Amino acid sequence: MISRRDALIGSACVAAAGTAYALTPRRTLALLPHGLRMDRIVPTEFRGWTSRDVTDEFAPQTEDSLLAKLYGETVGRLYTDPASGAEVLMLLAHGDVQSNELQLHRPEVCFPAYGWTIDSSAETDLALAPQVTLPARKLVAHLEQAQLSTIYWTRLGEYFPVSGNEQRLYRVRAALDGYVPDGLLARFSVEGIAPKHAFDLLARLIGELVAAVKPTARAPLIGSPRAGAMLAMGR
Amino acid sequence: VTAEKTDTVARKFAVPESWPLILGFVVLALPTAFKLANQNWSEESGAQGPIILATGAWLLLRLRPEMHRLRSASNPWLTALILIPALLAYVLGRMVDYMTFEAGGVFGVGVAMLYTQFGGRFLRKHWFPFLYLAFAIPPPVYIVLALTAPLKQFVSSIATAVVQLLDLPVSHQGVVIYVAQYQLLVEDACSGMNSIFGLLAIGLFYIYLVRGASLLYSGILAALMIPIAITANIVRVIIVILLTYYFGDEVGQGFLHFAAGIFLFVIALFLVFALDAALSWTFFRRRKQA
Repeated sequence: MISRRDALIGSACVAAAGTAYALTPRRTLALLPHGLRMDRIVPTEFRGWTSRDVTDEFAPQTEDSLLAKLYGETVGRLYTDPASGAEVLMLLAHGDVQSNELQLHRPEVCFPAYGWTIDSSAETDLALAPQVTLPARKLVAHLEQAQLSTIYWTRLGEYFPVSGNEQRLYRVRAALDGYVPDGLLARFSVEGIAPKHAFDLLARLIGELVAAVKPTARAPLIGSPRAGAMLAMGR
Repeated sequence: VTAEKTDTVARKFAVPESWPLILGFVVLALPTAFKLANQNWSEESGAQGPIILATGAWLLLRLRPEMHRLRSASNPWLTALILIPALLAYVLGRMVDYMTFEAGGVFGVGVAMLYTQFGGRFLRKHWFPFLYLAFAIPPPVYIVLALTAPLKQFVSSIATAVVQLLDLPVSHQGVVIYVAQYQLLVEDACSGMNSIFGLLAIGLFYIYLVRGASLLYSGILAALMIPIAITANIVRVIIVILLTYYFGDEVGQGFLHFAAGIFLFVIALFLVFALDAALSWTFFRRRKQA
């Protein structure tokens, strides 16, 4: 005879397996159209800024590395400010699918892993245009004598999580909406400038960079609603 | 006597009677096993997974007489307390493709089922196979990353420092080692993270079979296995540097690179056995006297 207890546990398991099957998202949502690359979208020169490609120095991709597994594309560029000569490192990392093995790594987790100490970390809203802001994070970190100021944001489909918890929450939310989102990490950092001035410089670069992207191609960088709003404003 | 006999007969047939449990477990575990086989086990970082699963299952099957001997009543509330979070973790894990939750959920469901069937006495006495099987659950990626990066740095700097003692032209910047005209990138696989997990699993399995389940003794040996695994990896990187310097890039990256890894893993394993032999002599003798 089957005990009631066993029957109950057995059916709970089958129900859980069924629920898991039904809730597993099968559609993908990618704001970066298939075949397009971030390095084509983001201009190399604009408003006096010039750049050189440093992908191989800062994000060397070998087949085996975690980086290669995490992101489909990484772009490293060093932009030079025409006014001060300061150099800003931009790192863009894009992954088609955000899943268990493939998920964005937030710098506040990554930096300490590479020996950096985080001195401050704060949420910020970057003004892109009147009434168009982008949720991002400001970080100050140091390693021995070097001090690094960073502004970065992460995009998960149309979501812009500003913390690890929010990122996890949005992943569940996207799954409940029935899709697997693509992901982008956009990071801008500058070394050797006092954080207050550094953040002004980074915010200026980001504003001018987004403005210089072709208006119809901004969605993979800042999300569709913001790109749409800027387009409507004629910016 | 007859009552006892019918009891034994009933017990013998107790396992097939619990087929709903077995069915439920298979329905849960099968998709996870397929996904693990496709994603995690085919990579170097998860290669120990199927071995742990097979040997762990063998350990449990071996304990079947013990399950019946130590059988005690189980508390339905406690069963629910293990089962429900495990099922929720499983569903969430499958939903967002988070292997740690999914496999952890399957593990929790298995524990809940054995508990409800055989009670707490068995689990308390034979905790080792469960701890061992927990090693088959893939750890969260960000924890592996957070441990791998500094380990890579450490391995690179120690290996470089040792080779510098031989007066060879070698230096390193982060995880990139420069030797003569060559440039070597210390990859994630060279950090030793994988061999730490592999060595811990095999080492603990061996200790359990030979010495039985002693928490203190297993803990001491496990703590010693970590520096052994790291040292073995430093030696591996040194060998690759020397191969590259004396025989060129092709030799350094070729078969010998791979062979050095296997060879050093075997050496590390023998070191663990030797350590166990030395340690058990003092440890268990003193215990007997006490």
